[in-house]
Amino acid sequence: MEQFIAGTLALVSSPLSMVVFAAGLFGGLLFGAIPGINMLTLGAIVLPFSGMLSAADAIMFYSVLYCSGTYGGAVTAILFNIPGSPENAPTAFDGYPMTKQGLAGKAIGAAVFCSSLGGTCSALLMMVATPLIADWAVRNFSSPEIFALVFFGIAVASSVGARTLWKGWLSVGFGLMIATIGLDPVAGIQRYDFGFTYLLAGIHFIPTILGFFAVSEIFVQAERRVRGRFEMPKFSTHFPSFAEFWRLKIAVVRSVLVGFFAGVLPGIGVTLAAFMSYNEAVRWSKTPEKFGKGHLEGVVASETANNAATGAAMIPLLALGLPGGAVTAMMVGVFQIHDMEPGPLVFVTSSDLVWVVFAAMFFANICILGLGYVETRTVLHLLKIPFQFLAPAILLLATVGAYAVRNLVMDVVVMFLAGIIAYFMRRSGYSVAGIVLGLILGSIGEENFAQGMQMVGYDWGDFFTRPIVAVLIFGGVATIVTNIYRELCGKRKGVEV
Amino acid sequence: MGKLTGGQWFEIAVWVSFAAVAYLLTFQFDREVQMYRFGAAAWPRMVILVIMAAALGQFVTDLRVRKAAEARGVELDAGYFRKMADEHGAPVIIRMGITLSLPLVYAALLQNTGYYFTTPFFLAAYLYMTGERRVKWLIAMPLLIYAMITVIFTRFLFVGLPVGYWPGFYDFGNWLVVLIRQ
Repeated sequence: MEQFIAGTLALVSSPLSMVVFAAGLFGGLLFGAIPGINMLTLGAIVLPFSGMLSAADAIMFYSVLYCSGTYGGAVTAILFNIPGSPENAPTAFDGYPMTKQGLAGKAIGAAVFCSSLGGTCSALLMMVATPLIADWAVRNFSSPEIFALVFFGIAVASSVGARTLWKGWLSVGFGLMIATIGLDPVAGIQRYDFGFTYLLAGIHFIPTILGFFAVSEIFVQAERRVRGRFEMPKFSTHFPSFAEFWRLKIAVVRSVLVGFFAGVLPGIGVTLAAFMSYNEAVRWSKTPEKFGKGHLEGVVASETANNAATGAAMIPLLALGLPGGAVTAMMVGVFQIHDMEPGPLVFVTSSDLVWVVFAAMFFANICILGLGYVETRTVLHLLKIPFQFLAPAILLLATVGAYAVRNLVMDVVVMFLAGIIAYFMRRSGYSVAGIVLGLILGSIGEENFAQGMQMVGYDWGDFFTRPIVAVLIFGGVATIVTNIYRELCGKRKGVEV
Repeated sequence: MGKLTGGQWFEIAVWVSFAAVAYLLTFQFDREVQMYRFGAAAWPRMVILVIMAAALGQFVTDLRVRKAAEARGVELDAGYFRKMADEHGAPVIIRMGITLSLPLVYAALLQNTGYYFTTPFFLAAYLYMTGERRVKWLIAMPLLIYAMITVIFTRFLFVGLPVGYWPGFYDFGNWLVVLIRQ
């Protein structure tokens, strides 16, 4: 409690920190609510410039952006059937049909309340659980365990977000291959550099993230304009009543729990949280046939879980140094820009940073409740900005952001190439989030595998019989086998964004 | 072409070629490392194996889906890009191609002609490709976007942007930077 109060005081006593907090909050709400862009776009654009902020302020910005942007992505999911992020995809299943029935306000109102509630509960659980997990991790986690966790995360990540399981694996595999370009982490041997000095340092993750997320999204929306398929629907602003929420109280509690525990999984836990919660809502409902046709419970289940997962996703990041999703992957980048290593030692070396972030996420989720309603009414005006004016501005911001990393024009070229590749891959049913997670987790996995094998003297038995390694590897293999079985039996329902 | 569409064969061919080329290239750095038994090539080869397995899985799935659809007499999707081509024809495909390649051309020119000269033209071209046809907006909006972003990053954030190498463009870029920072 004292640490939370200290974190709150540190947050409110610094004018710059409050400005950064507000920027993250409004930025997530705004960027999430405009079709064609999302919080990842803003996060990718800001990433090169995060070095100008202190580490605490930079990480705090992304954590607040995560909370507000996860809700913000629900707005476009509901209004335009364009999920702001993969974790908003289940929201569109019922949110968009509600819009077509003239009930957009009710869907958005439910999204506001449930996002705030799920996120606040998650922030409280996060504050209790993360220090305990960090303390445990310092004593029990070393290279073999981290490799096993990466393996488990990749096994889960590959199963969500792509049209088929195989395309999910291909997406992650592609990201893993990009991560091998440059110098190998053990002996510094050059790999896949083709004689170019530029490639010796590897493909920098900032231009890649900008290309895969921001630029590819612009291309996808540009295609809709070129084909004449971009439409702005009309909508009302009548919000749901308290009685309607009270009827769904069990669904809300279940979604918080599912969201939190699924969100802890490194890799793509937040997206998994939203899909799992939606599936559970269908399974437990007395009227499952109503789902997919404009059922409020579908929106509630998805939005509660995905915001509940935001706090949970911070646990593997702060306690173990592993990203739980695309935004936390960017946070790894922020740590690296500030010459810090995310992981359990952050609680020892920078506990003030951690508690500022915790306090900021807690208050951000509270603010979503009030701002979400206000934002819904004002977003109408912003939606009037024609896309053809937004697109060049975003491309230019991305260009400046990519160039500013190392003052290399090649980074801009790489960014646009990544955008083109991601556009074709998205349109072919692959997962861009899977590519980025493969890119981030690949180097972590290889380094820890190499160190782990050296630690155990190349004894495979010794490596895989370590308790935590055994549990995680078994869990990963079980996930893979289950997914393959479901894929072969045609039971898997993949949704790509 | 067998039971699969052209697009599906193309996808499989891309992945198999990618994996094959990547595997062949691993022999360039497959050398013994004293401190690490598996060497620098082990991890990439393992990833390539995963990619090949997934590509094979996708191939088998595509075949099964096609076979099941034929048995039920159901017509399957021709593929996203084929559908787009059939629905809209060559003009839309060409326009999309230009829309995708325009940023690359802009990036390729940045080094020589510089950000300060090239950007307004790129913005106008992209605005045109995404549907804007009013001449006033084609001139005003790129200049407004360019001015705002350039001033913010050049004057207030001191971000160094490429001024270009070619004579004339280099001079223009430097002149504009000095003007903005006055």
